[in-house]
Amino acid sequence: MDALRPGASQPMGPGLRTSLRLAAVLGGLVFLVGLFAAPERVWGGFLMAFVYLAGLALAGPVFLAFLNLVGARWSVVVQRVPEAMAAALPLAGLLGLVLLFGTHNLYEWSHEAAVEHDALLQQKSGWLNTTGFALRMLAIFALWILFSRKVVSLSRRFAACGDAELGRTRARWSAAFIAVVAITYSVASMDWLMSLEPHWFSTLFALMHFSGMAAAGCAAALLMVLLLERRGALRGVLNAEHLHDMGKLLFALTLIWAYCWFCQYMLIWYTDIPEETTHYLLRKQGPWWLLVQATLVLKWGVPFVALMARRTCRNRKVLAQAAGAVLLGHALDLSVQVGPPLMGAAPVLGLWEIAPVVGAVALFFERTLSALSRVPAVPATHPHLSDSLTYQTP
Amino acid sequence: MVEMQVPRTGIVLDAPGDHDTHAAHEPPLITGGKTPADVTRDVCSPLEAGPTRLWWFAFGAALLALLVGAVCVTYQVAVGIGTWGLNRTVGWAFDITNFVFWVGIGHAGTLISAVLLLMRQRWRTSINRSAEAMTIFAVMCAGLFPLIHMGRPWLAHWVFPYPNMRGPLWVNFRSPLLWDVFAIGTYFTISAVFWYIGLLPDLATVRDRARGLRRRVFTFFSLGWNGSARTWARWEMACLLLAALATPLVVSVHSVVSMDFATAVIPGWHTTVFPPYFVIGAVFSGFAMVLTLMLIARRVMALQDYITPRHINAMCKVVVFTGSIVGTAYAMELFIAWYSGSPYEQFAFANRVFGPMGWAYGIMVGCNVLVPQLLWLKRVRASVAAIFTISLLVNVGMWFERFVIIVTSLQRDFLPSSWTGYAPTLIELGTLLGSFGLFFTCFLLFCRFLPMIAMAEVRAVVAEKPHAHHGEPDPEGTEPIRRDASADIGLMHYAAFDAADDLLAATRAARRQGLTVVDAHTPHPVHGLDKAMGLRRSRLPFVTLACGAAGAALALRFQYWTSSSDWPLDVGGKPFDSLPAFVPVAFEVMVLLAGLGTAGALLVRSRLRPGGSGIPAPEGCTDDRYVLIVRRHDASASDAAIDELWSRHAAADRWTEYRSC
Repeated sequence: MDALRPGASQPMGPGLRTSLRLAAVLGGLVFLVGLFAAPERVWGGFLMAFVYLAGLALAGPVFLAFLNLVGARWSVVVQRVPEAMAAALPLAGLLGLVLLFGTHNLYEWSHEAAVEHDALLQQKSGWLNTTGFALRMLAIFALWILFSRKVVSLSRRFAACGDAELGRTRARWSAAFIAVVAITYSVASMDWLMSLEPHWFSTLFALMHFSGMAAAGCAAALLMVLLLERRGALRGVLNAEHLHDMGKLLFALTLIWAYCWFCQYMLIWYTDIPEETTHYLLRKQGPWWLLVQATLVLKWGVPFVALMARRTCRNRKVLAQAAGAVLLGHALDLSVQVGPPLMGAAPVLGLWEIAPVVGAVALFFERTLSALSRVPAVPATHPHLSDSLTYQTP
Repeated sequence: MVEMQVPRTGIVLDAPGDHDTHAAHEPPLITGGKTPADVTRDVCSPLEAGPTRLWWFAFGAALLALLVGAVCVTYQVAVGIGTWGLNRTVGWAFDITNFVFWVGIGHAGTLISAVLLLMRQRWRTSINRSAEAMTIFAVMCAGLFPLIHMGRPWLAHWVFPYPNMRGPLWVNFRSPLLWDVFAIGTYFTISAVFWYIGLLPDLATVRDRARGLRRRVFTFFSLGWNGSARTWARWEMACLLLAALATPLVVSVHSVVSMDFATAVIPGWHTTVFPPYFVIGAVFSGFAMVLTLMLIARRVMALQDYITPRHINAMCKVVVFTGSIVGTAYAMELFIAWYSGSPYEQFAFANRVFGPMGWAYGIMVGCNVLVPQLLWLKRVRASVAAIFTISLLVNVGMWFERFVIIVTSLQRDFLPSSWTGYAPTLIELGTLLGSFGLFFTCFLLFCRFLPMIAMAEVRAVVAEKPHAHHGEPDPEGTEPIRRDASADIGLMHYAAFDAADDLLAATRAARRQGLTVVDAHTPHPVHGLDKAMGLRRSRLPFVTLACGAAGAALALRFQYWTSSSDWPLDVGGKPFDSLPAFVPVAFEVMVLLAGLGTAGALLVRSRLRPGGSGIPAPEGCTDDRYVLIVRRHDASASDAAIDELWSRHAAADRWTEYRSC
């Protein structure tokens, strides 16, 4: 049984590693060139790339914290993946620091001239100002990195010894982490995305983005689990039951995201209050509306149809395709979020926007898979491993 | 490092020491070393004995409260809505507060029975039955308030879209109040269906223990349930499907209720987070009510072995989790009110916190956010008195949340000249008391006449040995759940077993010997029996899918037809074909038809009908006996071989019968 032998697995072949690194480097290069060639466009792409990367890296430890908190046992054979996803978090923090240099290109509230003639922005300047933005950015990443490290290390230590007291500590830190994320992610999504349209506001915005981020994170984890199996690290250990559960989770998370999306859209459409409709005014026109519809199809429609049946939800190929659709849908979702305030009525999605996003996603996978190759793919001494190997989903 | 062999077939050897860690981490779900027979006795005997004095006392009090409510409602209907404290500015107050409160209470029942089923949380089995009953009674109480709020409740049928004599005038599908009709109607129907389907095996248990009138009544309602493995397989599938439908349904119901407010332009009512915020608040209040009732029931009905500290602990964790989300939502509302820069929003929230009803806001935050935080402490979660107090306070707090949202937002209109206050009249207070009376009357009757613990599901929990892996692989080949009738005719060999594992082993051995396994009758769904018998997976999901798709398509088509072609009417400036406004009703009708179709298909395919008409249940198989029926397949085995098979698997009893139907 290879998968249960100690020693590291090799989730990445040399080809995959080279192409991921190449994509990441190219994304970075395009960004650097863009800083001089097209700064007004490349910063939009950078923001999407940053939010995408930070979301994926955060989704791993959050998922792990939930599994720890509820004492899930089915997930033991796949838990190395969410653990490893946290490895990209410091890198996301680094990109966050870079973003601080781009606030002027992205956020209207950072222009003193604009604020001067805008009563609303003046009122909000207590929150929306560059110093506050930077401080919140630092605090958010400090908390995320601190807590996710703690949760991941407790999870690994528990897997190594199975001590009951350690299990309780693990649950406590996980609960605290979830509480911290609930608040910090709300702040983060409002700062990074909602304040692109500083006059507009929605109380559901943070939750909608959180669920979208969770769905994308679940899709990424699913892809990596499938990759690990294909590379032999989980072969014979991972079975259709685990995949079925992850598929159901992806199904549920995308459904929650779609529910939030519909609630926000419907309530703003229905009430028709000018302060709020501005958000959808641009997005309901021409090509943007097509992109919004494509987002809904990819991020909700495809997984909804593909993963509804038990048979398809246990099929590796269908799962991989659905997860791919969700990841693509998430990128589109970010583009319809970030694009309209920066580009106006006509979407411009070219090299400057796409390359940084592709680079960041490649960087995320490269970091996570490298982290995975440093540990055994299955926690062989985990006290709940046999539960995970034998359980059956109804 | 333990080297383990994991064959591809999926059978796994336990790592040594596993059982110990398993046992050390968690106390058992059901205490007192109960057997399946104990479960039957403990749950059924209170029903069979006469009511206790305590029950009569509680029932009398509930009935009295109900009577007070009935008098108040009669007076209000006779005299008019003027008997309430409503005024020109505050047009909704006590009535709608109570409506939202009661709908919210119902949510925990569905959460426990559906969401926790999907999440494989086995601790739900002891409390799901009564929580579901609570859901149904709470929705009844909720429905009462919009009904009497109409003023002329005898015209209530006007809310339904039916062809009428008033010209081609249809109901307004673009109104959230109409969405409510569909949401609450579907919720009540599907909850009741889910509850009844879940009750069937337990009704059969009560039937088989009863005599006389009680037996006749339970024979009628148990629909001829005989514990057949084929029926169990379909029943489990139906429960899973109903749970999968009830989960989005429960989310939709409180979302639609929240839209009664959030689609308005009133500051403090219109905010996009309302749907999920109402849902989570409903789950929170519902769990608090389940805790209140369970703590009483476990004491009064002596169910300490079934509702154990583990159940209570789990519920406390749900309460503190959902309560914290509610607290986060309160904070978010305040922050965005400030952030919006809208003077109306800012005023609405300043008025909520510091205005004339600031005391109500204080109660709401205190009871919903601060008090439940105590449940983080293990010591508090171990004290029944503390939990009981907290659960009561949460109920109070969640009632005030709705009151605060509704009244403080209305009492300060856009026009300062119409600013006013609100105070309930005695009639309104009496009606609220009456709704509690209705709720508890129904609940006490339920405790008295129906098994309040899901016996079949708890039997499955106590019969399951931890880490019992079935040693042998299942024989190859599958067959449909329902076969042609000829297979069921002939000389049948019966054996009764005392343990589910013996039945499983005997089933596998019988099939390997070339015998036809006709059926098995068991007191609970036996894990793995369907595979051992080679039953094909039930095809109920296709029925669900077809009915659901038909429901959604029909509802959408009907809404488009009535709203944009048969009688286009401009309501609130909305377009005639308002797809976003048609989604809620389409969703509710989809769930309604899918749920009814699934339950109907289960009853038809398993030949369950009032009074029953199929094969009667072999003795003891609705209690603690596992009966296997095999039949020889063209002289493939001798009678002696079958006898030997029964002996080898420790059959407690054996007999043969000729079956001709």
